[in-house]
Amino acid sequence: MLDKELSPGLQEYLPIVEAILLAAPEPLSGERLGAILEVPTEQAAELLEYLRWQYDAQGRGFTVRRLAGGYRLQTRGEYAAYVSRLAQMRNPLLTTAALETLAILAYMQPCLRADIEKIRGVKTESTLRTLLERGLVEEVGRAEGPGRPILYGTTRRFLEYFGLADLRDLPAPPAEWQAYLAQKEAAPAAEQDD
Amino acid sequence: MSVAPYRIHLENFEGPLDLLLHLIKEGQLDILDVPISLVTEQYLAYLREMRRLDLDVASDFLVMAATLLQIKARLLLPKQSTALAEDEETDDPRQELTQRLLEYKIFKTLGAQLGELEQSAANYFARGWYEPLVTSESPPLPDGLDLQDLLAVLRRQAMQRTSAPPQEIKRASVTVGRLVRRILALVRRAGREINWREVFPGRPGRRELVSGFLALLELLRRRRIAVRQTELFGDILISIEESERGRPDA
Repeated sequence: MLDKELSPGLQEYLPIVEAILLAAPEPLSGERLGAILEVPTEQAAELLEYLRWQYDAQGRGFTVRRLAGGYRLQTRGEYAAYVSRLAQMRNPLLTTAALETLAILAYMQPCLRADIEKIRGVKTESTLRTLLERGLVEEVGRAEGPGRPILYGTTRRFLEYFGLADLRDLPAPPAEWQAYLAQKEAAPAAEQDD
Repeated sequence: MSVAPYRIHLENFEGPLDLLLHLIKEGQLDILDVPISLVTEQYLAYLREMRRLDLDVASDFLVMAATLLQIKARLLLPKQSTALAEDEETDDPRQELTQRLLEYKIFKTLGAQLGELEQSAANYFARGWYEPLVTSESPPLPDGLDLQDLLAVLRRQAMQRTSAPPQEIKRASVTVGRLVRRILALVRRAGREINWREVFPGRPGRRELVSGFLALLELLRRRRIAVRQTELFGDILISIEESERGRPDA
């Protein structure tokens, strides 16, 4: 098995990074770690990547995952069945309505509630409220115009929840996506005729 | 060809668009060339079945039913000459619906993909995950304090209430009629122009203000008063109409 090389002088930091990763209650960014260790961000990132490689190579039961712009120590997916026995209950999976709403927000943000309702064809107030409560969605501003309606967007917790490093990791939209966007650009005026 | 009742499975449709997509898929119809008559009939059959089973039909479904019928009607009408109204869809009345269906379909797919991500992400646990995940984030109490202390303070505060007892919510004691009489009386008594603010000494509630404004409009309509403003959003000045002067109180 090939050995990954670590830049000289960084070896001694490894156990420290491990300790910090274990204790961190949320994803740790390279910048944050760099500040804690008092090393440049690139070196901090290198340490984190090295640990990730090391755990994989050693077949450990946990792994370092890239989530929400940072790194998090988590159990490996293969052992989920055992780990989940630690607790009786888990947060229920999201409803289809919630997933559709999140999909719209994730790819089109920022959005008005009205925008979402227009696409889904149903009222979305309670679904949005649930998503807000679960911290997956947040207010990101207000739109111009009468009523100054609220604009919504996804949160960092959203990224964590779906195991994404950042929004670019969202699944690629279907083939029709480009045509859809083009058509939206071309006819925004038609939508204001309500 | 109509849909026999036994073929209707009442799956949990997310909305009218979801139901339409289902009908299109089941009937292997072309989403770009939807046979409106057939689809409308099937759609309405579903709504009837939902009603028959005493399920709540969300208003959005009914709106779509109306939309489908409207499209169907337009398709049946003879083509209008282009000299008439410049409609958005002079070509195909189905166009807007088709766009909506395609749009929804995209996000329905994306939503499902997110669902898969959710499931696989749920297999990874971080330390301490089994504490309730959806917590209300209350700040921890500073050292030396506990719940009992807080309760004691709260009790003391409650007993010290010197503020006015809660006001009763007055019901309609400020009818429009009453305010009409009040405004008239005020203007008459003053013998001059009065300011709108004088109609409500103290802090009027929203109901009073609205009733007052309605009273003002009513009096204007009956030409019993005149109003003017010196500037935009400035004070409203109320005066008695000439013809009103000699009239008895009404």
